[in-house]
Amino acid sequence: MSYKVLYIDDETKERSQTYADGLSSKGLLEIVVKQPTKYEDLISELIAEQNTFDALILDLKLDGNQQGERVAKYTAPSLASGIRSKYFSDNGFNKEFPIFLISSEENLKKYYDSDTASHDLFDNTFTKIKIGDEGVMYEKLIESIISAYNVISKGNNKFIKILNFNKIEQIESRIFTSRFISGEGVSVSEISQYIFNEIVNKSGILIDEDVLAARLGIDIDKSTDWKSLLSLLNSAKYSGIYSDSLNRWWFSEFLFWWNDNFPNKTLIQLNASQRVNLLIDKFDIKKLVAATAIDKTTSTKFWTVCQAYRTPLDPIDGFLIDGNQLQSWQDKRYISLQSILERDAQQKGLLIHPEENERLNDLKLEYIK
Amino acid sequence: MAVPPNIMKQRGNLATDLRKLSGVISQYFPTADFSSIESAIGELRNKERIPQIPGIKTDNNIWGYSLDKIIFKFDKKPDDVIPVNCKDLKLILDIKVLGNCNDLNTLKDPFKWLEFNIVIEGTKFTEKENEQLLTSYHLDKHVQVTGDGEPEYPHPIYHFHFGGRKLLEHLEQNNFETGGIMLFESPRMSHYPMEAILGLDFTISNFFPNVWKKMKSESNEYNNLIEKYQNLFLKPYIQTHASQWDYISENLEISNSWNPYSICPQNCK
Repeated sequence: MSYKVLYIDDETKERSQTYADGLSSKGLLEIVVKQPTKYEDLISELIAEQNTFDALILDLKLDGNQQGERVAKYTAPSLASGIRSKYFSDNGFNKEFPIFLISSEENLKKYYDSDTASHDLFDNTFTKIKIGDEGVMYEKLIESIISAYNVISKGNNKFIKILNFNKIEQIESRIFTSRFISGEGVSVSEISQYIFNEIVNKSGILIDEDVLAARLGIDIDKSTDWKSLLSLLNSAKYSGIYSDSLNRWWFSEFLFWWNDNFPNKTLIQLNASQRVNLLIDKFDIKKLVAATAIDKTTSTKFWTVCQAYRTPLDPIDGFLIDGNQLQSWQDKRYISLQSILERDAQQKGLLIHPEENERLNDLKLEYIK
Repeated sequence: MAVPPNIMKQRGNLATDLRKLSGVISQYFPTADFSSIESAIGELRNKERIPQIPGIKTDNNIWGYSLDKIIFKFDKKPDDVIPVNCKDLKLILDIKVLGNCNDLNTLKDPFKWLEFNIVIEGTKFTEKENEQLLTSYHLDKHVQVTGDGEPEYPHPIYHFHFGGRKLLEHLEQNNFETGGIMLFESPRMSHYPMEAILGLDFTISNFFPNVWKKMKSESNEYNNLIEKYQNLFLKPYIQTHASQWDYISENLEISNSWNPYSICPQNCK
C-alpha cells in the first residue's frame, strides 16, 4: 500500500509534478500537487481534505509566485506552525502527520539554515536539485517517517514496540526523559524526531554500517564476504522505526555477540588484522580484508570513522569535531589529520573543536615543512 | 538465571555513580573519549549478564565491568617528558574489575579481580621517519592460584608496576632499542586498589594536575564521589594494613606535614 502525500508548491504545476514524480518513482508514495492560497483558506482546505493524505511536503518559499488566482504571502515555516497548532484542536486535524520541507539549495541556505527555531517544525528537509540522484532515498525516507508516525501514534510511549527491542528497560531511562517515558504531553512528531535525530542518526546506542565495519576492522569495499558476515549479526540488527530505510545495529548487542564468540579477546584492544583473522578463523568466511589506516595516523585499533572520509579511524588519532552538545551515550565524532590538511574536512563544513587547536598546530608543524 | 533484585540494586548504584563521574569529567576534558563508560554502565545494569573472568568463580552476587580505552589527549607535551621532540601524546586507560556485592561496605577485600593499565603513546618526528613512543604503568591484583609456588619477587596483593606486557610488546616491535636506558624488573609497589572512579582520580591527579585541582575546587559532585569510593575501596585496604600495629587514635601526632593528605594527596579532606 502506498502512502498519500500532498505537495504544496507555488511553482508551475508541470515543474512541481516533475519533483513529485522524482519522489514517487518506487511507487511507495502517491503524490498530489497543490498550489498555495491565502493562509486561512489553505489551512481550512487542508483540514477538509485531511483524510486524503498521510503527509505534507511544503516548498520553503511559498510566496515566490504572485501571479494568478492562488497566491500566498507566507513561507513554509509559518504554514507548518499553523498546521501543527491545529493538531487535535476542535475543528482541526484529528491526527498528527509528518511535514517535510523542500527547496532549492540556495534558498535553504539563505532563509532556513540559520532559522534554527523552525527546524523542529519539519520532519526532514530535501533539496530539489538532488531529487534526480537521491529521489529514491528521499522516497524511502518519507515512507519510513510516515510509518514511524503510525507506529508511534499506536504505541505512544511504548518504546519496546517503537524501537522493537525487548531489552528496552536497560536503556530507556538513559535515553528518554521521564516526560517521554510517561508519554504525557509529548507529541508524535517530538518522539519521531528525537528517535530519528538523536538515536538513529547519531552513533552511540545504535551504530551504522561504516562504524560497524570499522569496529570489526573491515574494509567494506574490498571484502566481498562482508554481507555474509553481516548476516551473522542479525541478532544485533535494529528493527524499530526507520529501520526500513536506514540500517543500524544495537551496539550493546553487537558487543555481546563478539564477547560470546571471542571470549577474552577484548575487541577494542585488537588491531584491525587481529580482528579480521579471528573472524576468518571462527566463521570460515575467507574474503574479508582488514581496513588500513588513513595516512598520518598511528593505530588500526579502529572504533569510529573519519567523518570526512567515512573510513575507519581510531579515536586516538582523531580530531574532535566542533558542534552540538552530545549526550553522554552518543559517540564523539572525529576527523582525521589528513582530511584537515587536505582541506576535505573543511569542504564538508567539518571544523575541529577549539580545544584541539593546540594539538593540531603542533602536528601541522611536523607535516607542513 | 537472572540476578536477584538486591544485587541489581547495588550494581545499579555503581552504574549511577559511573554516569555521574562521566558527567563531571566530560565537562573538564572536552576532547577525551569516555564512550566505554556507557558500555560499562550497560554491563552493570544488564541483569542477564554476570561478569566473567576466566579462572575466577563467579555467581549471581558478582559485580564487574570493563572500561576499555578511555582516551585523554595532552594539549601539548608536558615540559618534563623525554625525549623533548615527541608530540601528540595520548594517555589510554583500561580498567577491568570484578567484586562481590556482599563484600562492599565491609572490611573484606573488595575485589576478586583487578586490572588497571595506563599506557601513554606519542610520536617522535624525525627527518627520516616518525617513531612511535610508548610508556606504561599498571596496577594489578595478584591472584594466587592453588598449586602455584611462591613467586620469585614479592607480590603485594595490589601492586603498582612500571612497564609490563604492553611495554615489552612495544620493545619487541622495536628490536629492544632502548636508547641507552636500561630497563630492570621494576619493584612492585603496594598501592591501594582502584576501580573506575578512584582510578580516574589517580590518573587525572598525576597526569593532568591542574585540571584535577580545578575539579576538586569546583565540583562538589566529584569530591562526593571520591569520598564515597575511598570509603568503599581505600578504607578496607588501609585499615587492614594498619591492623599490623595497635594504635590509639588520640596518640596520633597529626601535623601540617604529617597527616592523611600529605601521606596520600588523593585523600578527601
